[in-house]
Amino acid sequence: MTLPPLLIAWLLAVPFVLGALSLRAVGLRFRDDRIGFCGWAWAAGCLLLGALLFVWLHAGVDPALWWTAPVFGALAAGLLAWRHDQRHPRAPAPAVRGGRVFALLAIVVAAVCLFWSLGGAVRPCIEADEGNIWSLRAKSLLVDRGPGFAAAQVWNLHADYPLLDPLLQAWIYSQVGAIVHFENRWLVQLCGAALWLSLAAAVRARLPGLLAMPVALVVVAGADFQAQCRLAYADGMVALGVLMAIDGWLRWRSSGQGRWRGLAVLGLTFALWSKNETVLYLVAFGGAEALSRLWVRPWPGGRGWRSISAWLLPLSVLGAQVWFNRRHGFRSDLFGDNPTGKNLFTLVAEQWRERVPALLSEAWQVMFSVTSAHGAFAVLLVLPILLPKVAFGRHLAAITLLLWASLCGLHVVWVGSFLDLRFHLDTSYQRVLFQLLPATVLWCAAMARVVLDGEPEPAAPEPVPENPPKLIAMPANAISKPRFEVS
Amino acid sequence: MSALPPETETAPRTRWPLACTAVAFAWLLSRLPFLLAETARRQPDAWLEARAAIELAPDVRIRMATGLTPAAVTLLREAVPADGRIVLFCPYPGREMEGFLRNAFEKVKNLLYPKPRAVYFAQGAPALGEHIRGELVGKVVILDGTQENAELPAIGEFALLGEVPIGDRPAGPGPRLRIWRLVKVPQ
Repeated sequence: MTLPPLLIAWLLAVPFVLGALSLRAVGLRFRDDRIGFCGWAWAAGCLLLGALLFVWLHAGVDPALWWTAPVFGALAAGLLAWRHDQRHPRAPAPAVRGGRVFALLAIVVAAVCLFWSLGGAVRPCIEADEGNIWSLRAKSLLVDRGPGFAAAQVWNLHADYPLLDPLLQAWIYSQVGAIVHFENRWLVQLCGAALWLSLAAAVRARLPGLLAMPVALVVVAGADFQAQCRLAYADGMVALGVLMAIDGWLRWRSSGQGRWRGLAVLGLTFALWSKNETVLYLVAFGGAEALSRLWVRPWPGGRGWRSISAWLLPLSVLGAQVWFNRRHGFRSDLFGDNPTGKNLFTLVAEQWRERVPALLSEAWQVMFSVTSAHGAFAVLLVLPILLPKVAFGRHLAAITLLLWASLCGLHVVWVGSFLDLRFHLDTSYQRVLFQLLPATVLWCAAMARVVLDGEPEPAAPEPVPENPPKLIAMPANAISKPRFEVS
Repeated sequence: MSALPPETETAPRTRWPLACTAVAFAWLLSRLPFLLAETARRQPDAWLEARAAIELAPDVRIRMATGLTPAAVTLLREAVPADGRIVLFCPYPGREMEGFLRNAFEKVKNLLYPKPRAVYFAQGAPALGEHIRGELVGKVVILDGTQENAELPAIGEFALLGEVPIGDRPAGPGPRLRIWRLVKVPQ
């Protein structure tokens, strides 16, 4: 490491502080889930930092002054957090009993994740997609901000990819004052540790610690997770965002507490701005939610203006990305911007006979390999057929369908890829499937919870206080306790 | 939609759901010993890499990954003017060496960006010839991937600026790039 310790502390503290304030702004506190809070804070902070830098970038602020972005961000998020606390006062949560061993183990594993991240610094960030897509765009954001940006992406196969990962790398370049080839990965790499903490919290909220730890470790022990800790690919960021979105959504549905919806929104937005596959997952979720309504009664509190306004943040990010791509003339290879000139659907129609058997064979091998954590997808495919009342019940129907549709959709993309199938599978199959792996493990835990305890009763949505009562006047038993409290 | 399962408020506590869930978790957890063993097997390398990341200077790690020394990077940057270009010439179509040189090309262009911005890959003499023009004299630097001691297959005069090893094994004999500058084009 060649950077001064104070600069390192600044670089790493900014996302965490911004994230902690953002979580407070949506009503989440450290004591709501101590392990999860640390992971979510990192993702939320990276999201806010990326959004601020995007604005600073397009406002023409010189990179030497980008340090002002988190200062403004912290002030704004702090103000929102204060306002939220004023409007929604909460009594202190009951004392947390037990779980210390689990928390200690979670911290140890997080330290191992950091160790893996450190090992990634043995090679410069100039190779493969990491160098050709992600860090190239990050450098161009600084040195070719204007019309030259598109010209600089001439060797970039996916110039249309979302900007969060490049913006996080650009943050490092701007603060170091030079283009560096190792430290630029840091914020993206640490999403690996954040993913672990978020996964451990999500599984622990549904399973006893003795079972939750090994189940969560299945993901961490896989080579794909460790690669995410080492490199600046955005697939781990998508996995983290999708996990947060589903975890928050399930907790919101079962508790009725709006702060969990806030977590879901932050996770979804983070994933949407990380990589384009999330659009597929979002469409899959919309379809899954609509389809499940055919036999599942709607949950209370899902149609208010708060639920509708919750979509503003993810849609804003999508809109910003579309605007940026149109401005620079970037198009997705799935819509014909590839050497064949054909779009995904045309290629699927032409190639499915040849590719589907090969793809099924690959899926079979991956799911049945004992050295791959992707065996969780076999559970996702089979368990709902064996336990339809649980998998397609009120609590999990939309998530089961979402994961099925997403898994299917990803495979359709490989069928319709313009690249040689063998090359494409070798370079992306397990890495991209990993985006859904933590969420699938969470789904397994949620299935087990429903099997053991039955479906959670739908909770009434939190009322919006017109005249917020004083905290001191609020009896402790008036606070609705989340069903999935970590203990 | 009558075939769809009816909505349930509470899942039945029967043996079947418990048994299915237990088997599912057994399936999932059966991977853990193998995954942990694989992870443990990789740890010696991980220790070495972490140590190298801490102890070795960035320039050394870049040289280990690319073969390019700081002097070579400086040489390349100084040899190309602001409106100039670097061309990596690969004379081996369809051979294993092409993949190696393409990989080297990626590393070099990403390492040097944004000085220079214009970097091209030329496979074969015709593609190289596109960059040998009068207006580009003094502005084109060619990274020659030819491993034999052969002249560049292009009409023009070139000055040999240097020679750098490339790839992960910079020490000892191995692939190299010769660095040429275009100095004259016949009228």
